[in-house]
Amino acid sequence: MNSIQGRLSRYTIATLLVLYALVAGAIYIGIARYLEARVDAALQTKASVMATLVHMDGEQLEFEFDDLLMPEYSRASMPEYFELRRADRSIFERSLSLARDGVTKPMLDPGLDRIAWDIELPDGRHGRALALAVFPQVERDGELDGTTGSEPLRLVLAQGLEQLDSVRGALRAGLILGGVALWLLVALALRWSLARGLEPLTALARQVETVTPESLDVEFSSVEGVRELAGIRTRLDELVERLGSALERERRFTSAAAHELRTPLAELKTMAQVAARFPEDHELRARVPGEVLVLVARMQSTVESLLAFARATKSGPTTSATRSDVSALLLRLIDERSGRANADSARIQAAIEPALLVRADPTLLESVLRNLLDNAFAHGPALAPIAVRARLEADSIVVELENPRGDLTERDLGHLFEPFWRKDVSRHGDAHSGLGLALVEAWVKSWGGTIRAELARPDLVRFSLYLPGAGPNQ
Amino acid sequence: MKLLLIEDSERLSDSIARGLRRSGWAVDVALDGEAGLAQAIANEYDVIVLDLMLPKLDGLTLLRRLRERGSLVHVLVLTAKDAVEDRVLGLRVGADDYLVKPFDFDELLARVDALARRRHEAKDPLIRLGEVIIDTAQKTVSCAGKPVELARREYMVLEYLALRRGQSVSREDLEQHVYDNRKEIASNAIDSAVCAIRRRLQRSGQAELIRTRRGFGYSIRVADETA
Repeated sequence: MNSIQGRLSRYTIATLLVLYALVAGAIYIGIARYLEARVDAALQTKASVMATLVHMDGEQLEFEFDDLLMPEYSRASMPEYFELRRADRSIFERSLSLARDGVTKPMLDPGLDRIAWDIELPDGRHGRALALAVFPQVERDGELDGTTGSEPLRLVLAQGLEQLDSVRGALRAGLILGGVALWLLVALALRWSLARGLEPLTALARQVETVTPESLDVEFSSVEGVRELAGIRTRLDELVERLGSALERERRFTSAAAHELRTPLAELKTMAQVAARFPEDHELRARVPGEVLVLVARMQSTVESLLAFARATKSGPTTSATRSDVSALLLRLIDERSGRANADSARIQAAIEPALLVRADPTLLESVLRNLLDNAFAHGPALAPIAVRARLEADSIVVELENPRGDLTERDLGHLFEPFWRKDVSRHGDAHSGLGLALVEAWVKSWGGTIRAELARPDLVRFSLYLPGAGPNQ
Repeated sequence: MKLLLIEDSERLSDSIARGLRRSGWAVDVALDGEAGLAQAIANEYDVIVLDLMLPKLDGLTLLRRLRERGSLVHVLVLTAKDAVEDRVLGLRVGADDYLVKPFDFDELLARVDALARRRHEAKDPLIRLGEVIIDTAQKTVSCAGKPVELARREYMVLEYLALRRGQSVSREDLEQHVYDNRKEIASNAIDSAVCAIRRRLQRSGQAELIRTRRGFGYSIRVADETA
């Protein structure tokens, strides 16, 4: 696995090594050139001195070279070389080192155009040669008269480059060793400095690794004061908080769902066990089948509500292909109540605009409206009036239900849409699963709408449903 | 032995009460917290079975108030909440035991029996009174190895006297712990039950096990235990 420290180390070392290679190469070339120039200058000086030894004595060309004064041209070991040629390229004089043992070839100067060049010396060594045009001075009566002969000679000197090669070799070795040393030093320095520099990031990573669903009360204080990580810290803190809230919600939901099923299960199990243990209790045994059916129906209703809730909250907002008429639905639901014994419809004060259309599944929309209406009847005081209004507002269909708030407090309103929330914490009775309003909210949200509960007046609770929709002319 | 069941589910409380009554318990039932607290204060119970999520007054508050009043009654908490923190909270507030719904009725019975024994500082479910042995777990009585057939109410009277052996137990005390509040109790109900017990034990030569202490009630002497 790649690490930031490893990547930074590799890239930094590679960059430094490339830079070092460029600089070292430039240094090497510069020094080598300088040394070569020094060798050329030395050869030039020596050639100039030797040129003064060439003169014309009358018509006679003379070269007053003395091997004793310049023994380097005659020594056996690592000798230097020279040759002096006439204009016709014939050899006038050559060093003893060239002539020794009858060696006449190769000539030091195969061409006429070069001034200084690298060559392979006759004894196989690597060397440097320099050519100089020599105009012999004319000597008259034993003295130089200041004139020169008309035809120049060509003097070529050559010497081995052992010293220069040795210096260049040492320089190369030094630069390579310097490179290796630099690599080692930089690697160590980087390891230390990156470890120090990346410490907040490492600490953050360690802290993040310890975060589990059971330990979400963590604060990423290890990166406090680190500017580059401030944003990450804020986001992580927010993320962990949101995750914690979501997990807590999930735990509460699961616990509530389990509780919702446990109560009828306990009723069923205890009743069955007591009936089996005491068969002489005929009254209980006679009651068991009917009670079992009631309890099974209650558990089935809870399970179906849970599944519906899961489906409604699983997907995001959806657009139904079907247009449903809210007005017609509301009127039908109100009409249904008129057939009831207690004439619920008499309690309803309806103000419903006609043909209000929303894009929503008609069955689910009916469930939503029925649920809200049932709630108003079930939880409000008996015989209290219930106001039902529906109208078009901008691009929204607004449905409002108002009824006396009964024992609901303003604080309770914040919990009304929570799954399994009940005003009374006890959970007896078979009529409600505790998921009704939670389902209503989930469905409304899935249609892109909203629902809220508020106190319209201190004694009146109002449910307001906003759904994207249109009036009859749109 | 008398038990108060405070449970808001009528169906569940009815089943539990039936089962407990048929197992030799006198059972009073309360369907909400306020009624439960009132009954717990007004009567003396050997055990209270308490649901936590109750209307009007939740179980924990009820238990806290009961303990604040100095009640030492043994309380078994019965609830659908099974999280460790819920159990710990219940026990810290003063519950003696905890049972999570749904439960086995046999386990509930065993636990309330155990709590009743603890109340009377008896660890062994067998109470030995000489040749008479009372099995509080099986709700049976034997004398010299032979079973003694007792009616439910008679057994309850004998068991309560046996648990309080060495003490005089008044008729009112016996009524409190043997009868629940559902029916009117006949004025001589306890005397009749004691007579019936003596009659049944007489066949085994143990008619004198229960003594009458005029002005105090009935007692079983400690010496009888080892006789």
